[in-house]
Amino acid sequence: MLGIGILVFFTVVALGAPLLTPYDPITRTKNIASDLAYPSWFKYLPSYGKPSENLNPIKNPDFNTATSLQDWKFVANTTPSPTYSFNSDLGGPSTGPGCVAITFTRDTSQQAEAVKANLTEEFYYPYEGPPQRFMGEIYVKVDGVQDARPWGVEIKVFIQQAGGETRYLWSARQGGDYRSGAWITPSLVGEAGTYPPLIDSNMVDPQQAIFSKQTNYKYGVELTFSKDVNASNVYIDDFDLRLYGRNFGLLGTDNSGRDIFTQLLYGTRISLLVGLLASLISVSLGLIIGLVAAYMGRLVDEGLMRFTDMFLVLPELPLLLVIVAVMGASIWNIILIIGFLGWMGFARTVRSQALSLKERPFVEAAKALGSGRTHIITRHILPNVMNLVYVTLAITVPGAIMSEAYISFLGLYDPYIMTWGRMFHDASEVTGGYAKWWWTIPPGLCIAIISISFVLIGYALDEILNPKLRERR
Amino acid sequence: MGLRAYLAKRILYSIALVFLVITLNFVLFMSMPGGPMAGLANPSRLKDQAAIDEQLRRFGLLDPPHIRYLKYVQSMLTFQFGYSYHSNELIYTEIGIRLTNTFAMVIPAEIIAIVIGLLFGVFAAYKRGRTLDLSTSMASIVTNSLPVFWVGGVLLLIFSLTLGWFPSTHAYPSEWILPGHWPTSILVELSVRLQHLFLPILTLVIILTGSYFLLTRASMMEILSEDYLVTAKAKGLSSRKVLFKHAFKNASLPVITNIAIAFGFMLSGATVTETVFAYEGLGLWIWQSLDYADFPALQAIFFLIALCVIIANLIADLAYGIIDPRIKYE
Repeated sequence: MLGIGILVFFTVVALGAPLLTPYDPITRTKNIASDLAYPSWFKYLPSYGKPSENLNPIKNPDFNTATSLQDWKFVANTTPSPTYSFNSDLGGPSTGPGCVAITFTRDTSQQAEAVKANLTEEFYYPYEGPPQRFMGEIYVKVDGVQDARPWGVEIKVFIQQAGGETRYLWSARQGGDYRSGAWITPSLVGEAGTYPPLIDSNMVDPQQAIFSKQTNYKYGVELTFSKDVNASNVYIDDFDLRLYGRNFGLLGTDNSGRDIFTQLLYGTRISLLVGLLASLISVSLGLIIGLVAAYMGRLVDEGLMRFTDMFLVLPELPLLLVIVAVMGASIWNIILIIGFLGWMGFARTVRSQALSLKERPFVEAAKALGSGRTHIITRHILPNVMNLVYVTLAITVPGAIMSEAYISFLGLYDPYIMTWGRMFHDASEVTGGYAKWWWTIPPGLCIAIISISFVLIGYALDEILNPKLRERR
Repeated sequence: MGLRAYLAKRILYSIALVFLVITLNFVLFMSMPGGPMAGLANPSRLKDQAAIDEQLRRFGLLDPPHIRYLKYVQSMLTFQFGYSYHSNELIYTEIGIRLTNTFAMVIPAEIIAIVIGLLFGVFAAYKRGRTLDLSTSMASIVTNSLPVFWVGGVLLLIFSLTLGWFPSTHAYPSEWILPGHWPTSILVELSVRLQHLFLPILTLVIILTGSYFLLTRASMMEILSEDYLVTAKAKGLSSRKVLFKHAFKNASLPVITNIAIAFGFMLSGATVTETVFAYEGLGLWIWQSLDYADFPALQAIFFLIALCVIIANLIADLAYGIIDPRIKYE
């Protein structure tokens, strides 16, 4: 028994420790992955269907160095064509200096007409199924077009399937009636229910329609210089496309795109913290009150015992709910409240133990020698009660962990802390959340395992320290 | 002092506790943020002061604090809980419904858990160290440590969402609320309710059995080392008689007090289970009332729960005193 207890306990501690080297540093970074993703290893299950995983196909979206231009292909349909080059001075606001500059100078001897140019990068989409979501990004700045009417340069971002359709994600016009001169960055998100502006609004799942095959795709921007523009520069920076797959991570993600496995590991820290601290508070309070009640005379004893009874009578969970709702759900409040509502049982036990110890001969001897009350309590009674303390500590921890889990499950969690109870709460909020068993089963299992380990330790301690329970040889 | 005086003293003490709890409740809800008016008036609906005052008067909030307190005490003691902020109906009727629901779930669960726990506890203590003991002990330790919402959630997942054997939410199908839909035959109503009840009861039984088992076992183990049992066996009594008539009777003391106390907490203990299954019982009502800041309802619920616990404790104390003649009443 003892062996099992310590073994499980060490597993638990081992789980808790490596978190200090953060695995995924924040428990709540959006955009790591799509929402409600399945665990990665799901793709090995036969009945799963078409999987897809995260893909960041654009290798150098930031254009920070001249070599980053190698992946991009530039095509223009006239001669002389616009040129493109690396500009190391300007840069989009988010990525620092370095961007692509496309320079167009019209040959005024020829008839003015619109000129098109393309900047694309090609990539291969290797997965059988479509991504759950894709997110494009681009920063564009145009200058030299203020005098063109009605517009100077038209910019369109598109995705083209090899041998298939070209879908435009966004278009904008710069110059003249439309403003120009600053960096603009549109939102280019495509997922079920949300689609970039130029995608057919009847299409339900743009990401599925666009990425329907395992083949090559081109992601690029198409520039059209109107016939009214004679010279213009277009700067492009931070040109990226991110594809989020259906699978991610060891345990998938929850409904906000957070990695479940990380949440699980981080939860270990909180549970241990809450469990240990809260039960420490409970046990200390119980100890003090029990000892004082036993030693400070009849009146104090009666008063304290009635006080204890009053607390015992209050139902723990509803009171917990109300107090946390009133005082605010920070993790320290929760720890304190759980601690302050759990001392009663132990106080009674300590009191009866201390009372019986009081009658023992060695205490009488100490009194005869003239020891003061405090001395007796601290030096004689306390060590004999410590056995009880250790066992109770071990047994109280799971209770505290559970209380915290229940409060979190009901919704009163500290918004900055991810705990296992809260994971369950999030699962219950999503329709069909319970059905995603890789989300609901792990947190509860962890709570159970930690609780069991503490209980086993408590039992083992009890067996060591309480001779009556030992096996009869 | 004697049994009668002890009884009297405990009863008086319980009454005092009731008053204390009432006062505590009052203070607690006075100090909730937003005050007692928080869940009451929708500012956009009550246009003028007269309407607001009317609402206040209706809910008895216009009087100064000490008068409110006295009225509050009176209303609690006479079980006139007034109207709910949220549904504008008598809390009394709502309590009836919710209480019935919770009882229907918790009482069978407790009874089953107690019976299984006690039986197995006795046998496990008897066959100590052998397979029965070890396996049931391990199982109990495990089930005792399982969080309630997890067990509920897993059961829900397996039996309701995946297999479809049982409905997944509420105490009865929602269509029943519509006029004319409430089943006329009691058998139909019962059978459907049972279907809804099955998973929550199963959850509770799984959770509760463990602690009864472990308590009985520990208690029995202490008793089994006594000598008078050897005498009984030597006298020729069958093992079963020795086990139950002598050992268990004496070991049952802490178990019985525990059962009594458990019944006290049973009203609130089901809160999490009710939340998982969206089962309209008292526990879920607490949560909903908190959400709506429905103070009269909350006060009534707290009072009821505290009352239940106090009564249960009283019974536990009395049982303790009656069953064990060794106890001296101070």
